[in-house]
Amino acid sequence: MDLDRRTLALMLLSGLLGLAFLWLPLSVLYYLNRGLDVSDTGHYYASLYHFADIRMMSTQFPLVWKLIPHPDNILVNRLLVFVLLMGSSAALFILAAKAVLPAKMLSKVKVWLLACAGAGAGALFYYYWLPDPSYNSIGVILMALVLVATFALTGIEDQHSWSFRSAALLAGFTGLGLAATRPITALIMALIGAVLFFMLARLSWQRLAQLILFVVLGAVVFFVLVQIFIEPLPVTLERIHGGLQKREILGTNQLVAKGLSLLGKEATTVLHTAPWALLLASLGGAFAAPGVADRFAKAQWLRLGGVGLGAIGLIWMQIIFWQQSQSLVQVPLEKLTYYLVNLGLIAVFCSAIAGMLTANKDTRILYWRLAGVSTLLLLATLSLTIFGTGYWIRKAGIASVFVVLASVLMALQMARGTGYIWSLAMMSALILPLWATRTTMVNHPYRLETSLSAQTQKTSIRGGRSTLRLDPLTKVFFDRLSAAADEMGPVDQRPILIDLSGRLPMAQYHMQARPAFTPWILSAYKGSNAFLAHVIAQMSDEQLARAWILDAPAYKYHMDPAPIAERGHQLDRDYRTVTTAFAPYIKTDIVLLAPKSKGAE
Amino acid sequence: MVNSPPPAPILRVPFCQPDYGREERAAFEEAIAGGRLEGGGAQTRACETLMEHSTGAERVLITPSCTAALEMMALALELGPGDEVIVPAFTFVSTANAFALRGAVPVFADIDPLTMNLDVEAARAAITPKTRAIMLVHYAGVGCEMEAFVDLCARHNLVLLEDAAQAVGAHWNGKALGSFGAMGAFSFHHTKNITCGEGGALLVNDPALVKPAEFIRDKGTDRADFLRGQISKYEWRVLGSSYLLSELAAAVLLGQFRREESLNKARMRIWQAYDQRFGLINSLRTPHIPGAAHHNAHIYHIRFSNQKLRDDCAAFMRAHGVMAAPHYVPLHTTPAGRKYGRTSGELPHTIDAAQTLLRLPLYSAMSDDELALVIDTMEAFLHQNGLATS
Ligand SMILES: Cc1ncc(COP(=O)(O)O)c(C=O)c1O
Repeated sequence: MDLDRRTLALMLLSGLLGLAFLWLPLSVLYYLNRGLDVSDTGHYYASLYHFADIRMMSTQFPLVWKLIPHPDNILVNRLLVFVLLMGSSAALFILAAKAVLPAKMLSKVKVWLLACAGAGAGALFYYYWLPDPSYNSIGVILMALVLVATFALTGIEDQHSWSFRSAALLAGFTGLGLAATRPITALIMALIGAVLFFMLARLSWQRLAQLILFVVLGAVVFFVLVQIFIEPLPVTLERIHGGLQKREILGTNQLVAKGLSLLGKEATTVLHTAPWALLLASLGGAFAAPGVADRFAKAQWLRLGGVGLGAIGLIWMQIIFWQQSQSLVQVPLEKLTYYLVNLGLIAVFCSAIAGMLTANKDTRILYWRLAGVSTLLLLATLSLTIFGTGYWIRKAGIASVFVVLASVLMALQMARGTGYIWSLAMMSALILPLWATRTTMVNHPYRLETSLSAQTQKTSIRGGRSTLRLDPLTKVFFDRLSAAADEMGPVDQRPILIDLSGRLPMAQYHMQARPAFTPWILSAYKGSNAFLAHVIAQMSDEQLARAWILDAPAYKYHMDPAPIAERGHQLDRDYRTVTTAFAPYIKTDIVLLAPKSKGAE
Repeated sequence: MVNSPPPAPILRVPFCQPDYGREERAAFEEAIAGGRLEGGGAQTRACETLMEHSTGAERVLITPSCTAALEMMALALELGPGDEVIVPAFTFVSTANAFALRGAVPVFADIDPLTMNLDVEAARAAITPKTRAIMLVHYAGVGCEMEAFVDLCARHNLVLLEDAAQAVGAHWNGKALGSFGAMGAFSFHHTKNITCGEGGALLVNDPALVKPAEFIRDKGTDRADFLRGQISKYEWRVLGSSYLLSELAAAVLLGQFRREESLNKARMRIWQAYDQRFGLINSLRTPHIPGAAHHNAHIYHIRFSNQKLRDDCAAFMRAHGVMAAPHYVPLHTTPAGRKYGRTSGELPHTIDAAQTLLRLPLYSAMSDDELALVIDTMEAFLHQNGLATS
């Protein structure tokens, strides 16, 4: 092999860049045992490990997660999520590139860069949710796998080959899993998958028939496994029914409409963040793209001009972005989100414009494919976020994964004919927001009051099942609940814990108390008190009489214990205070109450 | 010989310097964002929780200063004219002033020459029929002889109180200082291990005193019960004042508590570096740590054989940009001390400590260069004066 110095230098550079992307995952590992959110994450773990006691739940993600054998341990959970996130997104990056680009454009070095960037992007999603991405990650992993299967399917010529069949099986299996986790997203993903397939694959009836057959088979496999290893369908249906009721009573159904309007507002803000910079970068990029300027006289100058304009657009955007956040490393999350989405939009616009400008038919098809794929990926991510979770921060987490993917694909495309320089430049530009996200999230982890570096105190969770490092105040909270849990008696006979704060589902998981048929009685919703009444109504007299109560009398959203009193149990008369503790997240004192024993009355 | 100091030497190592970091800033911003900065809010409760947990106190109340906490003790015990409280003469003004304010008489007793803490025998000798309480001061965060004092108070039916201003995080036989007496007081003043500029805490260990202490902090009212939803309106119950700390300061304090471990570790490293260099020098007296004491590296002090050497050393250090400081003026010699207090016997050890003690700079953010400068300067002084032999 005759390696000239330039090639060698470039290879070295891309190797280093790849390692820089890999540094993101490594630092997730470093923080894996730090911090624990007591609200959302509590809901997640309670759902997973008290699944059999739960009759009201609006997403059935434990069906998917419980198929993977693993211990009830927070660290193991985090590690598993992390590995699957990285693996699935790395696979997605490679397969998407393979599906869109001609084989000769994907050298070994580029595949390595893609895999690293993919793993980095998976880690990036984790960062948005540090310290624990909980069930959101399950949706993302499944979605990525559905896309992996779809892209794989488009690239395999022989529909009778086992690789085609297993890709279809994977699509069906993960598709049904996604339906259990996020039903509406699954529907949209099915649509997007179909469009991708039709857009990118060679079509014939036989291929379609094979595809459908094995997709269905994959779904059947998932269903059967769930029946054998987890629970029979009627139980699941009962829980789904209970979950729908829960949403109805709480009044959370309107959140979909709210989410849509919020999304509209944010889409406008994203476009308004740097519209001219965005346009400039897209236009410049299009002219610089290979095969576009060729049809014009003075192609060389046009291409150079495009490079210049594109660079000005990108730099301009960075300046706006940094000016708005007033810091290079501590960036407000929403700004970061807008920035990432803008990068994705550039990918879309750039390929679309390039497709319009080029004279060569093959090149045009290539660009339009790129534009189509990037658009669909953006849509896919949004669908995951509108339904079920409505805040920009979640969108950011998911969108960023694919926005980055889209941009990388664009970079690869640009690399055609111009060597690695363009891809390296694009990838370097991507590293910046990734880094900013990392720093921001380590300093402001989700629902924690302090940075991850301040989580220093070894704390035993759930009777020693996990040991994490938490901030001192949170440690006191968990330690006090641990001591109280010992008073609850043997684990298999523990009573139900009713959380009147409506914000601390982690308490029941930690104390190994039974959930009140739902992993979380949410406070602060219009229907919270009604839902509490609904839950209490389902308890037998014996269950209610034994139940412990976590009250937060000074918390502004604390729920009215009236439904408990109506059944003859007065908080101030019939219960004794086991412990009090200052609760993180709601930042007020909680009181843990146990029923006075009959003899004592 | 001492070099004559240049006119205005640059201060290269201050005596103390608080270490505020990201945690404090974050908590501060959170408090502002929360919009409620009056005392007794979430930041205050968070600090109190941490201290209740670490000290085992029945209830901790954050106050604007240790001085305020000491005044609350006098109010809670309803001390007044005709009552006496035994205090060490080698202490800060507030220890005695709190009782004088209520018309009670602080009785100054001598200290133990090794620890600078109240001497058990001196305290015993100071007891009269008027004595109501003994107030201990854990000098430099090193515990007093607790078993002896607990016993002494039980025998004479006296209330044991602790001015643990300097003793946050320090222990005696595994039990937190401040948690032995009926009440204890911490300080979070600028000079302390954990600080928010001005701040303090009252540790209430006697359950019967919890309610009165809560009333006193909130203008003598039961407003705290009202806020907890236990009563429908609040009223004036006892003599009190406003002893609440602003949430802004409490937020900074919370940030400090979150870093307590690392702050203390850093202090201990410096304390030990000093002790390794100066602890074995025959001509100097350095901190004596009794076996039962787990101290908090609050102060590293050196005692010379006479006042001149001490003053020369301070001047020499200052001339080289290092700030070293003597400590208290004995209270029984001060104008107010003579007016409001009574002195029990001769107080030779108090006088001696006041004349010969010098505190070296000590703060968690001290760099290796600063530490080296302090040690080198001190050693230079010792060499010059022929004191460097161990
Ligand atoms: C023994 C002692 N008591 C009381 C205080 C007063 O503390 P504050 O300034 O918090 O009122 C101090 C402060 O130096 C002290 O050393």
